[in-house]
Amino acid sequence: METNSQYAIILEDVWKVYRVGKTSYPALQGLTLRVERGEMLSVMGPSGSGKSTLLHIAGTLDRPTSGRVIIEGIDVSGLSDAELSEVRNKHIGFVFQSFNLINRLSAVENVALPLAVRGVSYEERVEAALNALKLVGLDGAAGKRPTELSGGEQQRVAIARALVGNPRILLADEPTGNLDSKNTEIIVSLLREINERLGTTVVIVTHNPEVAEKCDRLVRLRDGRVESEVVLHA
Amino acid sequence: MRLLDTARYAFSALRERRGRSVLTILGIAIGSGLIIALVSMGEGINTTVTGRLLLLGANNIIILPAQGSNIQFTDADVQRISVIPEVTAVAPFYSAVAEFYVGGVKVSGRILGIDPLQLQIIFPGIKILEGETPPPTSASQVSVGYKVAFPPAVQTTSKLYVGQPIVISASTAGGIKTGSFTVTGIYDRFGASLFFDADSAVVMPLPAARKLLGQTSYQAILVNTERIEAVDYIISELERMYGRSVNIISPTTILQTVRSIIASFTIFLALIASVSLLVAGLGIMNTMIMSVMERTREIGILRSIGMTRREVLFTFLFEAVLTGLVGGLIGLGLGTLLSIGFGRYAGNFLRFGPQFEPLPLEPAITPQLLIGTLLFAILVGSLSGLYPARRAAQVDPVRALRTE
Ligand SMILES: Nc1ncnc2c1ncn2[C@@H]1O[C@H](COP(=O)(O)OP(=O)(O)OP(=O)(O)O)[C@@H](O)[C@H]1O
Ligand SMILES: [Mg+2]
Repeated sequence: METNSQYAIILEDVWKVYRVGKTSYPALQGLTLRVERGEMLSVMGPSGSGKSTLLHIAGTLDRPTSGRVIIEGIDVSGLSDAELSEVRNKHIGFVFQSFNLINRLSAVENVALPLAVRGVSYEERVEAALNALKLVGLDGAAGKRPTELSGGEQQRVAIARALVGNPRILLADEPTGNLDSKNTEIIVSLLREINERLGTTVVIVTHNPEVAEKCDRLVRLRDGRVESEVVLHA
Repeated sequence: MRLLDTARYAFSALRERRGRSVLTILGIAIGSGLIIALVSMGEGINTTVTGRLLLLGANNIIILPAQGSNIQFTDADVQRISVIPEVTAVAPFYSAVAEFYVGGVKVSGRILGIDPLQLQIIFPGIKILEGETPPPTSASQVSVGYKVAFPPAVQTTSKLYVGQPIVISASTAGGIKTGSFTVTGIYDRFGASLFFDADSAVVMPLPAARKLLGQTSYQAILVNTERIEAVDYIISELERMYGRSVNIISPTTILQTVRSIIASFTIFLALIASVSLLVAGLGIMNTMIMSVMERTREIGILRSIGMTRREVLFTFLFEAVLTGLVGGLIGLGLGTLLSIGFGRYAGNFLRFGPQFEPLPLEPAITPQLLIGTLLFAILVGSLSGLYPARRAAQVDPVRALRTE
């Protein structure tokens, strides 16, 4: 089912309707979006417009109510939980606003975790994790716990974790939402560097126009649909 | 995810909630320790009591002509019975209520006409205090029990001595038969026995008994086996051979009753201990449910990096299994210590009566018991972990990641 498409992510007429009791909350209403391989895209939009829902569906964490989702040429609509998990593990790296590290594990253990899930041996995954930490400039903090790191450092560890398995796609949900402007700058530059050096497709959901500015393209959502899009860097 | 990594991860989670983990582990340890202590004690008591009853002759069967039957036991019967499998000795004997006159003093008791060399079958470990046992072929010599030689009611001055004549009056179906014999030996105190009171008996070789009683055929035959479990089989063989013409007396029914009472009691204790282990299992379940709720976000993270539902289930299940395993292992040590301590203490209370020595109580800590209990602890752990682990697996990752 894998095709050699030029798109990393294709969402076609995707609906996501949450039902609470008798009321329906449509989070996505026929959203269509294509993200090219190697593109760095930012998604903006008012609160509740469906940005996080979009990322979750593109990241196979969530299933759409209807519509087609194709990730790296794989139509994920009919896949089982195990198959979706494998897609996530191999092709997708998530970065969240609140870092989402596991506090009892050291930085290097956090970073190595996706490889442990993949079944990679201990030595091999620690080596890969140390490399990923080096990439984000934190190889010196490998043994530290997340609670011993600053917010910016934690987010860089989270990025290292998202990268460690060499995914084709990096999905970041307001990655700078909890950071000051200096750290925001560091994180965005880091994501840009990853995008350029490794060719990773990056999608950043953000409320920060300065973050969006660094991306190739900006997509605005409203009421679960693409409202407008701007190409910033070709 | 590799099994070792799942174990490592589960262990880190248990360590993070150290206090809680220690308490749940302790619950399992106490439960399994109690099982080991109580069952090994029960088994130990059973072994001790069985051993004691064996000393009393519980592995002996007596076969005698039934009332009104005209069967005559001869050496041919002894021969027939001795070839039954599991039979280790066959001793034909005579026995009768008797009165003994020694130097004008009268003592009541029983005569036991038996090959003196086979006396050990009836009275295992009986010892000669003075003199010696009469030769098996003697028709005129006897040896006597302790109370015959030293009658409690009589002054010690009237003590019977070796070489002295003794007049015996035995009551038989054909009236009272009297004869005079020479005492060759005196037995030491023996104590309780199931069939005969050794201390108030006069033991006479078979020819002597035949002469006194005027009988040619044996009065009864004692059949001995080393394995108490074989008694039922031997009885069935004897019944097959002789049918209704004989009565078969066996104390194993008593022994079996005693043993089954102890066994049921042991099972009862084990059940109580198991309940405490199950309660500890509820403790695991409770902490695991709490843990799943507290770690909802962690579950979301694990799913986002590609863990399947099944792997989430295994990870949480492993924590419960690990709790059961560690608790069980500690329980093995705890149970062993408990039962050894118990054994030292409880032995003082385990005796047949105040006049008896306390029985040595050796708790039976068998590998089967240890392994079985450990497996049970692990089983309890995994069963308790199953429901929380399923809940963990069913956590919606999107919702989990949204929770702050
Ligand atoms: N489990 C749910 N049940 C009901 N409604 C939901 C659920 N999850 C999300 N929604 C609704 O779906 C809509 C889109 O939510 P989403 O989180 O995608 O918005 P967002 O653009 O990321 O907002 P924000 O900028 O605040 O993060 C919202 O109206 C939200 O209330
Ligand atoms: Mg959002």
